[in-house]
Amino acid sequence: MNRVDENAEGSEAKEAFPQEQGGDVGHRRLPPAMPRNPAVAAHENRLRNPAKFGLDRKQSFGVPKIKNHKELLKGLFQKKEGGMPSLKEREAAAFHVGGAGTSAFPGASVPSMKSFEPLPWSNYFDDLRVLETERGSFGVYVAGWPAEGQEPRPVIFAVHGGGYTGLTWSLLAKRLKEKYAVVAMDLRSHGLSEQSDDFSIEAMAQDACSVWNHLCGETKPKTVVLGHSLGGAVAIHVSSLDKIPSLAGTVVIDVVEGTALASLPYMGQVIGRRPDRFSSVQDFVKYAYTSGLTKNFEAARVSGASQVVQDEDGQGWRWRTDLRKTEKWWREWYEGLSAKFLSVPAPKLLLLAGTDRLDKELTIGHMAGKFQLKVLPAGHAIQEDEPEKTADAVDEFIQRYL
Amino acid sequence: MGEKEILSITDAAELDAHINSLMECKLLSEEDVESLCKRCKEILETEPNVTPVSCPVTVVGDVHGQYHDVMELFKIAGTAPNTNFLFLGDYVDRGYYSVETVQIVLALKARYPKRVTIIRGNHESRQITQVYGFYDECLRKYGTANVWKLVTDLFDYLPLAAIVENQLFCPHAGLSPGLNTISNIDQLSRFEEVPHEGPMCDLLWSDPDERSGWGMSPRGAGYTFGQDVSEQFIHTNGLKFIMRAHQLVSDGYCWVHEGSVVTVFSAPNYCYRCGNLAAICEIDEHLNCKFLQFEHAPPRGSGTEIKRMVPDYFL
Repeated sequence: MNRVDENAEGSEAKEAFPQEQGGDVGHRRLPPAMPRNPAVAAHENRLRNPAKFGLDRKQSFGVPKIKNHKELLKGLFQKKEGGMPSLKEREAAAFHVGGAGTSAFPGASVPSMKSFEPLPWSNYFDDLRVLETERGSFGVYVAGWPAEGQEPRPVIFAVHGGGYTGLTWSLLAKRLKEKYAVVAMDLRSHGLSEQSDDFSIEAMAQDACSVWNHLCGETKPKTVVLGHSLGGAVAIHVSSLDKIPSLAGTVVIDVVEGTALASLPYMGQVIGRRPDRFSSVQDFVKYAYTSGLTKNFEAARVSGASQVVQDEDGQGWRWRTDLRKTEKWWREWYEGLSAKFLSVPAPKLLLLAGTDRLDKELTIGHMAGKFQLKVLPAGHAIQEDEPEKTADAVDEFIQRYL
Repeated sequence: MGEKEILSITDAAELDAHINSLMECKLLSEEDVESLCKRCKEILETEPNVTPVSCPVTVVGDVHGQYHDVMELFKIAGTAPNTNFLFLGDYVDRGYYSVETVQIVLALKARYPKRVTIIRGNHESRQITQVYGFYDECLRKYGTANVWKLVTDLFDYLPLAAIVENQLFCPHAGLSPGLNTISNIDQLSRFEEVPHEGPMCDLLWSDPDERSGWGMSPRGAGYTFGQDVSEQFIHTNGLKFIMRAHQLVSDGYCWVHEGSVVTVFSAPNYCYRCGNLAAICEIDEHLNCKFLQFEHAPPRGSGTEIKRMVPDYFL
């Protein structure tokens, strides 16, 4: 049933494995894939892929020196100990790379199982810091920051969605860092940032302002605030707080009040269906890809390790952020969001995975010419699924308004 | 020009049959669409970029595939040839009957070329229709993209604006900083896909604004233009005012720039969710405007067309 988006998957996989020249991507303009429901897909995939893949771990060298990172880095550079992948793994990989139609000789298009291994953040970002601010400590990835004496550059300040981390922007940052400084923070209780029990939108927006102020407060470069999903809600709140005097634009990815509120009743279920534990980081990466959390192997591999944390007993891995604990704030995150978005004085771009996601208020606002809408057929994490097109959209937007 | 007005009896009968079946919401066969597009192409390619229109005429703004509301509109306004029409573009996308809607508009144009004027909106474009519904609807209803190809190829022939009795300038959207006069517009080469920028794009994308002068449009294409710009254009070209569509206005029509610009929007309850009124404008022999407002047609059939998907998740 979810085979409709094989086109998209095939080409993304190609991106992750440039050596693979097979497959046809000539029809990308053709009908947008129906967004796959990860809840359904996850279930199907669990049936298809037994949970255990028995991947052993060993430590590797070359770990970058940063503060407060030990826990995170445990997973970052682990490699699987020798040996060929099992047939089942190869089949699973073939199925997701080449689609069901290529299954006659699955081996022909199977990427090596190395594909589920984490990729280091340093392939994408130049720097990772843990900033100590008056609001606590926050992990911040930076790419394209101008060297001393260089011309100041516009800053893209990126805020990830619930359960993701700053590394969700990796593929995008790689494409934008030649022209812009990309700053991707970890929200509280996510990634390398400090844990917290307060998930109010106000608190998260203030955190973001505080991180911005820490990095950009003195030079005040033109700043475009970019957010995905929950991070989109945070970006809208940040943009309306009047705390970034050099705010030049707001870009929001796939979050709309009406549709978010309509889907809230199912969120508990969706999160409840996620596995709690993973046997390894690779196992999580595989889960992230096969469940549709991301449709891009590369994106799953670079951010996977930052989303999980090893259990105290060392036996397995669990989600770093327990989204169930945030339930009490869900409604508050999204209520009034459309009106707030429309009232942001800066130019606005809304990137959606499907036209039908606009609610009444934004449909009216769009049709009255209040903001720019761009539809990129993809999964929910558009920046991961379609990094090239997302980068082009953000670049065009900035070029137009800055 | 004259000989094009005279249709052979068989052609007229064939077009009448098309119109009758479309009035019953039955879409045309692919072959009929092909011959209809060919016929419209022959008519449209002789029309200038700014097509002259005589009074009386009824002006219709965006309809966006809301076929049943177009039928409602014909009940209120009458239909061709008893009523002359000027359609300001955006026939397709968003509504679930873009195919039927654009076909009835084209069939009326082919049957009554002098009584029906159609111009191009920003949705009459290959790129936009692939995102906002017309392409998918063609695939769904015909099984192939052939009809979409035929119709979007025809879109390249649509005029960019109309001018009523040399006094009312009627583009789909607005003005362009690159076009000071009507003859500037007539000099554009229009037979192509709507470009991303430039004068042709501006006519199909720009909006009037409270701020004076030119501004970047928040839509990501075209410009915003102030009252000073509208007044200058009106003065330069000896116009009374500008009538355009493109923007949703809750009452179906809305005057801005102190009577220099009026917006007409003819898709009631736009996208089946906005709750707005629609309007059309009857212009009489003395250029007096009468705006007729109307609500959306009652929901049809099982109502399945209003079904929306709940997205995966939103955290």
